[in-house]
Amino acid sequence: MKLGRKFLLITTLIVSVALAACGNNAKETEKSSPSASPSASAGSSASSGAESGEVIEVSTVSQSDPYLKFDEGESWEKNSIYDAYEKDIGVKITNKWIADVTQFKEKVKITIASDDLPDFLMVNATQLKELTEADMIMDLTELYEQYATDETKKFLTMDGGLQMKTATFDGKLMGIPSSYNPYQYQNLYVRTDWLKELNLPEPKTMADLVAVSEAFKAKNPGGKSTTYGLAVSKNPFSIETGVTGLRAFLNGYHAYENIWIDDGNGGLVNSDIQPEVKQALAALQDMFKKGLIDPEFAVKDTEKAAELLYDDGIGMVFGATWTPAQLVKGAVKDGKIVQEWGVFPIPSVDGNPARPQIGIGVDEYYVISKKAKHPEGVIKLLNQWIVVDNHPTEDQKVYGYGKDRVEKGSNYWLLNPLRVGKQLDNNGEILPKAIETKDASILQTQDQKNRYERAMKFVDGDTSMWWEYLISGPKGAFSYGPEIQKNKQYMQNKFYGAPTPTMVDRQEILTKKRDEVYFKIMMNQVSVDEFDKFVEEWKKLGGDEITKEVNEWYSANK
Amino acid sequence: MRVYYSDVEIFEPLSEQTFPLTARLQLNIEVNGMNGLTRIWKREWPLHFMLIPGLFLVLLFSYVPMAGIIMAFQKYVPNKGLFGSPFIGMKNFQLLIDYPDIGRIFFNTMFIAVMKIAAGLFVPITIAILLNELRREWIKRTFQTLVYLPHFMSWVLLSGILVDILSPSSGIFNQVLGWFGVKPIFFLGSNDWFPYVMVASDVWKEFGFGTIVYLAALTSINPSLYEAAAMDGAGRIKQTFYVTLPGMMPIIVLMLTLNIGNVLNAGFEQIFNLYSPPVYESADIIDTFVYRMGVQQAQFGFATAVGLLKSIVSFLFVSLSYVLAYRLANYRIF
Repeated sequence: MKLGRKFLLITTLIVSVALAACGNNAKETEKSSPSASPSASAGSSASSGAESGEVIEVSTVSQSDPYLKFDEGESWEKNSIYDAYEKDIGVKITNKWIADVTQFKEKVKITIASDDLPDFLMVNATQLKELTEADMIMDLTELYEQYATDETKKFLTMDGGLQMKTATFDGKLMGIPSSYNPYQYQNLYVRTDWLKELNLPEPKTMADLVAVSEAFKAKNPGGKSTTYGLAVSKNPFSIETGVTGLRAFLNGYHAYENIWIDDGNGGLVNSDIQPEVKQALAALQDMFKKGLIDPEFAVKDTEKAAELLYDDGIGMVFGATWTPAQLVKGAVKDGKIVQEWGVFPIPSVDGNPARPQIGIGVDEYYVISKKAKHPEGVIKLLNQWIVVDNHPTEDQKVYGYGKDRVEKGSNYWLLNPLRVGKQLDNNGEILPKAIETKDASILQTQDQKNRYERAMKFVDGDTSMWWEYLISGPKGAFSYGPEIQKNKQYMQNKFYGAPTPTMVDRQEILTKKRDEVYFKIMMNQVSVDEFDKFVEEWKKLGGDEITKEVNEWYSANK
Repeated sequence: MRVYYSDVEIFEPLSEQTFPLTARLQLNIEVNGMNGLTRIWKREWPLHFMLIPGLFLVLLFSYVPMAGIIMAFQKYVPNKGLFGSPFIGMKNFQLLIDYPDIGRIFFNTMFIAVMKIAAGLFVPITIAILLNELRREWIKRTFQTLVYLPHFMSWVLLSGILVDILSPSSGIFNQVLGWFGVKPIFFLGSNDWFPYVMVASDVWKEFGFGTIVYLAALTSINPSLYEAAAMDGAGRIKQTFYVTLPGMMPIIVLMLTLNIGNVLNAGFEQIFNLYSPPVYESADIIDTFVYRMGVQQAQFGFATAVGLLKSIVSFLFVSLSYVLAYRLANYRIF
């Protein structure tokens, strides 16, 4: 009897646990099905899309952003931009998931690995290739041909079609490049107040650069205990280091960081192993020995290395066009300008001007899942974005600012699910002129208008806009662009295919070896002749193999 | 007269260790004849039945995912899944072995990890014993809390602090060394120093946490043992060696055995945040290598292969230390 009661109790417990588990399962399946079923039902009813007045649905994934501030009552699920797309072109946007900046890339990887793609999403070049090989994404060739407007087609081939080519595999367009303008060059930024104080000329050659940095260190116009000549941070050769890098320094020696350049015989060679690099490294070693480079640069990230700039310890740095936005932290204190900076083109080691190295202008692509019910909806989103981003009517300002159509710093444009940028711009021609003559009539794009406005604020005494003037103003960072553009005085990577098989297996070791040797030479731990050994090793460790593959690709894609 | 095991239980709770199942069976069989086994089963089967959901969960979450091991032998293609991806045999392992620096990487990993295990055992035990000798409770508590704090900080944060503290030009550490006439040392940029800095900073971060475990072990030592030792004329030092340490031995062996499973984990988060190309030679470990190779290049199969290899090695080490603990210290964990 006693046993019986116990038995009952236990059985009840177990059954309830099991039921709870089943209950969860049922809920799970229910949860996952809504995303599938509406699109399925939409698929059967609305194949013709917006023409018939019906709404099609496409799903994607989004990256949340701390700078995006929703209007009252709006959210990722329901907002004026999604509504506008639905109303204007009959495409309803849903998000399969939303993740913040730190999680987004990881989550995309998991999404791919678990074969759970939304209708469209943004992936990087490696993933594009992986997805193409895995046959998980759609061939867009015909779709693009049929649905993209002439304006879209023109917009995405402004650079001569290079970026579209990088998304093409065996003649099939597999993704839409998330394009941007690659023609943006690094510059040298120097404390002009110090130059004046010490009566130094502008640095035009690499020898000038060394002379100026020696003077800055020796005469110490900042009056600090820790002074160096040139600011450098821990990943100086990486493309991700926009300020405090050394790519531009290499360029000054006609050396380039990991791009594929002409070998003079119609083939391609990797720039990392060229003799010019050795020269540049020797120069860096020399500067290091003289104490012109922070001996601890290898452990300092950009922000930490920049502290010496803010702090009057260093007066010279290489950086991208937006560098002034970083420098402003030290240059403007309590509304007063305490540091004066000037922008100069990259100095050259000899009589030939330095050629800044640039990429193709696309690192990421929008791809459409093979399982997408309405791929044409994605192309419609693309068409609409290009229209509203470049010449919005008054009504279309919704896409940029939300329903009240005024700029209030809420970054509503981030809500547009598919965004492509201009592959070319004429900021360098227009902006410095417009700002110098205060002539707003020659401004063409929305970007130019925004920049002009900010620069004017600075002219009128708002020191917080100091940086915009140094970027867009006369003798600003943009102003050197047109000259370089006109003379084609840049070095563009000639290889823009997907990573080759040996690259996938071997690029890591090559990069590691390179960084190790470059750093050790710079830091004067080994002789500069170690570079020659590295070149041999590079070739043996797969570099020769990669060169072969790249040249095969080159002869097929010339 | 029939004596049931449950009747005995009323007087003295029988734990598995003092009165194991076999002995219980023996008792039952002796008292009740062969019938006892059936009787026990009859009484206890509901308890066994209750294990089933737990067992099911363990199977589902710990054993089923092991099927993923086959990824190590595949070129994993997501939409083909675990069973459709092409097999490439040992190519992923071949890639690992062919990697020119692989010997160096394994050496660095073991070197740093073994030192961490050794120091991570020695320091907390010493501190725990010293703390135990403190008379004033509040000093002990304060100290314990203070050394416990760094355990909660992430390496991302601590690496920034370490870069500052260890800086040869402005770091406080080098300034102190300077008072004794030592020239500034670039700890994070020198291959001679880097591994030791990793060990020292890891011990500094974690020893407070370890100390708590050993302090708990100390409280379980019967005070009468100390009294007896004192009667026999043992001083503080002797008491430590002949009473305290032997009393802590089971916990020490347990912690050691568990830690030895980490012999291939030299601390990814810490090293990844602190290393740089000039110290690759002494700092590159398996995990940082896999990160650069497997994760950044999306080589799922390769990453799994390395993971599998690590698991196998860890398993061997844990088994070995378990056997040794049993043979040498006569201590059973399970």
